[in-house]
Amino acid sequence: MVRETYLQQLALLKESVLSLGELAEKILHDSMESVINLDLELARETLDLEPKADRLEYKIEVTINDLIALQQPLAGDLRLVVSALKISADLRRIVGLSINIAKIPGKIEGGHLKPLVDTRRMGDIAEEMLANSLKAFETRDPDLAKGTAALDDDVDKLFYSVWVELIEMMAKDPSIVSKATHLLFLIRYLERIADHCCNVCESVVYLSTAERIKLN
Amino acid sequence: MTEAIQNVANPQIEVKDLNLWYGDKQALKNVSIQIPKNSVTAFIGPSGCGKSTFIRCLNRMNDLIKSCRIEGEVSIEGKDIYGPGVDVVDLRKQVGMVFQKPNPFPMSIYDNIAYGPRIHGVNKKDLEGVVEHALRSAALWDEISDRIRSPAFSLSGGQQQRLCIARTMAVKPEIILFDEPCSALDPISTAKIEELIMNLKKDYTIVIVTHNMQQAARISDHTAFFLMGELIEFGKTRQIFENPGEKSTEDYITGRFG
Amino acid sequence: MGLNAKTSERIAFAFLTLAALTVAGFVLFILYYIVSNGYNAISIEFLTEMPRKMMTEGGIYPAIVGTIYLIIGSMLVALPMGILAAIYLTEYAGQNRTTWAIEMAINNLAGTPSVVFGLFGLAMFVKYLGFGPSLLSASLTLGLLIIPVIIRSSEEALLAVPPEYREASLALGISKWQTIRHVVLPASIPGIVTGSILSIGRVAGETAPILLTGAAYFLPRLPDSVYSQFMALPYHLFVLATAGTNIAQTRPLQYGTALVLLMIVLAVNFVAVLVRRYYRQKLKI
Repeated sequence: MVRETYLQQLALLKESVLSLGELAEKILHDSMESVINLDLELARETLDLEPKADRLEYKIEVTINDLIALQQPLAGDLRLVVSALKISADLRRIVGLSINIAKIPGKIEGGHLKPLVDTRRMGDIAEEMLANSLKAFETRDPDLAKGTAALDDDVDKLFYSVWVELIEMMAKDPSIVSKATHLLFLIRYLERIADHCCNVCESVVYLSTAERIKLN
Repeated sequence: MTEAIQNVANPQIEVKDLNLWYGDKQALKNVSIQIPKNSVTAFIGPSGCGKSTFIRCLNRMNDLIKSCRIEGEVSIEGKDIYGPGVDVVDLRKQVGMVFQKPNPFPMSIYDNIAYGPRIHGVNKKDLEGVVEHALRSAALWDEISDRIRSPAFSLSGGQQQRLCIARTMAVKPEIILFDEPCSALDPISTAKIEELIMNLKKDYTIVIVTHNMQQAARISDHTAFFLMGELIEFGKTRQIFENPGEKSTEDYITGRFG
Repeated sequence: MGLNAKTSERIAFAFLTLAALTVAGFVLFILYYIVSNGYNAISIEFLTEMPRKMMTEGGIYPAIVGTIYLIIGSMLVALPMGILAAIYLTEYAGQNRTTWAIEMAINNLAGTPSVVFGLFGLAMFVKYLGFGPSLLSASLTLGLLIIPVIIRSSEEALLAVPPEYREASLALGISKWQTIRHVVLPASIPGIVTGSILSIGRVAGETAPILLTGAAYFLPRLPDSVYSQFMALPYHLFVLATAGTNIAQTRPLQYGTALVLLMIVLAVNFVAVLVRRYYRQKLKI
């Protein structure tokens, strides 16, 4: 009585979550490129990707609904379904935050206040966290997930240092407040993205060990 | 095996190295388990895995099968039920059983329940109270109190099964064994029996064999998984269904074989 | 090849119907023949008076009473023994050589010609135990004759009781014997009664065994104890139709006797059917 349809549905669910993850990776990466280089063309292309993320999220939700209603998954399968539901919500949030980032280039006129060195590093770490948490999900690797979540500390440290730096710059020269505020939002978005990656990692730990832990 | 259940604080039933053969065929292999008091323990596993055979060891119903041979120890409240001088009839008073198919006797509802107590010597004038109490405990009284003199076969399948549960309770056992009690019932009757079983654990130790994994998940505190005569895993139900320790348990409950 | 399913179905159906109708036809013909020839002989006097003038006149009252006594007597012998034996065989006996021997003996008894039973009864009850030619000897002999039938039908009735009832009762901590007495036996009564119906017909109709163990050629009074000889309908019929009496003159009496015998068997069957239905209704619905 091996349940072929059921196993196919589970495989489809995992695939869809990974597709959404890949899309989130692309959107995050491109939005960072567009904001650092103030590349309006790339920014617009990135913004156009959001509906695709919506469709994927919807597809995942329907698949999960069907699985629960029709197949009553248990044990590892149950954990896959539960974690897929949570992970897809986190990924969708990451997409949303990245889209916010991609809107920033259109609002900044005439170049950045300063070279975005630390901000770029934040973006790189966030991208790495996202890639690794997806890999941990794919391979059900709790250690990779825990290691990935540990990177959140670096993001937080960078966030505070850039934050303080920007506040100080604004205090000296109130004329830059508008530009600096956009950058404040940018680092805030990146910090949130890293948090969502931590959530994904928590779900991966639950998926592979049934332990419920907090990672940030 | 799962750590939490290795040593139950207050086990009512203790089984040590139980082996059972039907003729040359071994049906149970080295089964050891401790079943806690006032709880629901479910036995799951594919057909022919030995789960029904196992619970029939607990009230020695296997004695009825001539080719059946048993080794090992089964004790209830510290007393070896296969030891010398054990009266099987007394044992079965202590360990009641409800079967797969509702099997009321061809008598009235009242007589079905009064049957056991009457033969065990309950006074005629106390009998009515015993019957009413049993029917109430089985959540059947409100449905049928106006026709307890009508034949038991006039009840629906689900009511018949609850009648059988009431009949078992009327002889005041401490343990009730259920052998797939809902496999012949519709979902609503099944839900009523499940609700009843969950309520009964206040007063009885319940052991249930079921093909329906969701049922085991819904009603039991502990779940044991049998495969080919062996006890593969025994643990808290929640854990068995969320994160089983053994690969074969996971494969079974997720339908990857069966 | 030849027949399609529908055609072969029709042909088979036609043959089966023909066979059934033939059997029914014979039964109806025999009934008609006996009733039409016998009913003129039936009267109050015929049923209630002693035979007179070497049985060429008068009634058949003692033969009727004798046959009824035989039915009662043989049932008293065969029912308890047969049912108890059936209980032993179905519920208690293991599958061993003794059981096998008992089963074989019962099968052989069922196939033994009734005249052999008669000879056994003559040797055992009449001579050896000294009961003489009597109602007692004849009842015991007929009882033995029908015991295999009663055992067989009782066994079947007991086996037909669903094993679930036994399991349910045993699981309540009820002993095996109490289970049999309170659950199994009551549930098997309709089947046992059905088996007894068949044997009553046999008891009422047997001639050879009673001829050898106590039936009287001519005895114009009722038996006054179990040690008395008696008259019985089948033997009376045999006597009227063959031996030294005036066969042609007693022809109506012969048919009348046959009709009465038939009626007694039918009446007993009817009562048995009522008993069976009563118990079925008590058990089921």
